[in-house]
Amino acid sequence: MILKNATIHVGNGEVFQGDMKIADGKIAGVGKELSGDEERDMAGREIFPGFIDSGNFLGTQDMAFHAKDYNENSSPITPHLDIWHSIDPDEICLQEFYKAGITSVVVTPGNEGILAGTCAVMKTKGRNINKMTVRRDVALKVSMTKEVINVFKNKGGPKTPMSLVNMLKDALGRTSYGESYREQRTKEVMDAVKAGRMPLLVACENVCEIERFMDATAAYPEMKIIITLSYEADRAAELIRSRNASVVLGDTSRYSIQLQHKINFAGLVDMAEKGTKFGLTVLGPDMAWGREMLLWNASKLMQTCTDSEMITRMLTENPAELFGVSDRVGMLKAGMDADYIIFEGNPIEKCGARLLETVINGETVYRA
Amino acid sequence: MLLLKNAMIYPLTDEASFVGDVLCDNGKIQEIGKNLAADNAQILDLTGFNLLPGLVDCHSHTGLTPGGEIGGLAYATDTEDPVSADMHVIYSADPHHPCYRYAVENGVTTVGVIPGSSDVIDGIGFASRTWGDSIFDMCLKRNICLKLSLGENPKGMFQGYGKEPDSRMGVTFILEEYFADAKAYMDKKERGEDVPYNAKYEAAIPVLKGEMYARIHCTHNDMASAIQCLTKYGVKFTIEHAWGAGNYLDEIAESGCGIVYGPIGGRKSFYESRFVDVDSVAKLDERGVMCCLTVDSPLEGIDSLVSHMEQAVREGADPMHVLKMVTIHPATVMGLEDRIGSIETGKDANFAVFKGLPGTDMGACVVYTIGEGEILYKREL
Repeated sequence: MILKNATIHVGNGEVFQGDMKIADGKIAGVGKELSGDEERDMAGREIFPGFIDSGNFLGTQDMAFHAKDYNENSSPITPHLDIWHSIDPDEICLQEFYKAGITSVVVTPGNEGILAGTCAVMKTKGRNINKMTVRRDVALKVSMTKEVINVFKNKGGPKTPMSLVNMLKDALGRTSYGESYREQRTKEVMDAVKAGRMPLLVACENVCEIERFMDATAAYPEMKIIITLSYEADRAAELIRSRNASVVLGDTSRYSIQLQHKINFAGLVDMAEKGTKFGLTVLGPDMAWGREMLLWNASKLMQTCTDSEMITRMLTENPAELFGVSDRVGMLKAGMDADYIIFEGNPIEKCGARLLETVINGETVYRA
Repeated sequence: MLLLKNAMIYPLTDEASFVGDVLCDNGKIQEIGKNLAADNAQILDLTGFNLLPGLVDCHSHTGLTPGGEIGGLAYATDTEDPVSADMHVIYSADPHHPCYRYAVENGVTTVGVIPGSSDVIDGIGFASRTWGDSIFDMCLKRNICLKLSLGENPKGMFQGYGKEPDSRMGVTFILEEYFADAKAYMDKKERGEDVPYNAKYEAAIPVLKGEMYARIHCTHNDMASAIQCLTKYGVKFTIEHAWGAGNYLDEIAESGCGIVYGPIGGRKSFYESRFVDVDSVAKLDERGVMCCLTVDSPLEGIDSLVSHMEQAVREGADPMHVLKMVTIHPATVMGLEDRIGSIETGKDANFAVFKGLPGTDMGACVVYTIGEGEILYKREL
């Protein structure tokens, strides 16, 4: 199938008028004057790569909050765990992220463990978890937030940020591991993290938590760091740049969190303009919120941002690259999964831009 | 005197937007037109900006916490008795709570401060300016509504204590019983019978007489219960939150009630927040139902009022109608439509000046907030 005469947002900043060829669930080509059997006129339509949420715990809790499978609250140090085993495809579908143009989500453990487990990139529509999986072990989730202390203060600690940092340092500093399956899995993950093969996705609500984490991990220059929540990241902009770290901005609306942290959107845009890579998510300090909120953050950043494609990249190329899945999703290029969204108008510039169709693996999963 | 020059004015009356000037004096809008001049007036050049009436959120729990705690609702409902009709939430309000100043910084000049939803009959709300030192001076109007609640919140508060309500049906029965008993009380009084004074029933009298709104927290099938109960007494009412309204479009339109929709953006969870159907705002608006938007501050930050407007437009609502959903419509729900909510001569000189148009342009933001002719906030651009 050929989508003809669309405005194509590649996802990496490039925008052009042209065509896109889809075959066997993949993008077969993007360019000018492509032709084929079935042609659909897309004049006046804008096509984007399906948006990516950069890390929340979609699919790991049920509607009634009974199943909270995103936190393994038996210990704050569980890097051996893989969130993939906690994901229920039906719960992913119920939140209808695809109706907001979000076709992939980095599914992560929650904010209650210091080293909580590894993350997986999942498609947002399907019934079979294998078919929905883009890649597993894409990052190790870390939390520096008060949620860890709230959960573990009466369960052996940490009771304070001091002991939290000590536990983090101990886990990173370990060099001898036993032969058991558990020990070897832990070693595999921790070695990958320290060598920079697996990024750390680090929940930090405020600037102190960012500074603490950077200090505690200063001995590991290879580490690939992605700060998430990041409400005060602009106040550690230099430090974040000096470690070549990236930033994922969490939900800023719930519980008046913008007021609590005096979030400086202009400062965050300034960081992005100076080269720090950004992603966006609906994750909050103690809960992951609804699909709507991804574009709310985009709008708040647009208050001072003059380049809407920079914000688009926060939803497309950047997360794909940060989580090592840019060979599959995040851009409209030949060979990538056919995950795309068709809009009337540009949703990063106009609120009234209408999502007409969401396509995952070449299949239409939502049509307005 | 304050003279606002060369703004794109959105009066939010029947009149379309136009570029012009507004002269403010003694806290009121004195004149609207082109090329206005006034000796001794402070001039604010608003070339390139959009001038809206000060924003209004008629469903807010701003400042109902001890010690200025930002996210909490501890003082919003009394919860000693599920029938707390005689509770006036103005006595719980802290004017120095940071959410008031925050509202100013986000273009909001009036909030309806109403009780929470942990009782069935929650109490009496008031309309407040968002700036000032004394809540009683800030108050624009007392007794704007009797707040009622159905569903999970009152049920959860009282469940397990061995008294009604312990279930959803128990909650709704208390509502029906309250209105039946209050009506009987009022009728007896009007017939001149000697009845002992009952403060809780007294609170219902202005509602039963159509002088004050009943505002009922309810969602999907609870709406059917609410509409059934309240239409029986012919009262003016609004449905608050209104998630799932898309399944009751006919009933809502026929009842003549208003809708205060929101907050939006939560994850879909059990029972009442399963169906957050923002597109129903567009559908109800098309049917002529008076719709308002709310962020339910502090549950969501008042900053997200603009996000709520964006979302309503994203899901099909007319952007010009959405502007009314955060200005003249909520003003009307509070009985303040003659004083605030639109840009008309004689009204309070409350304005939100925007760069970009909220609900139309992504990134629209407040650059000035003006309250009764005073510049309360200026954004450094």
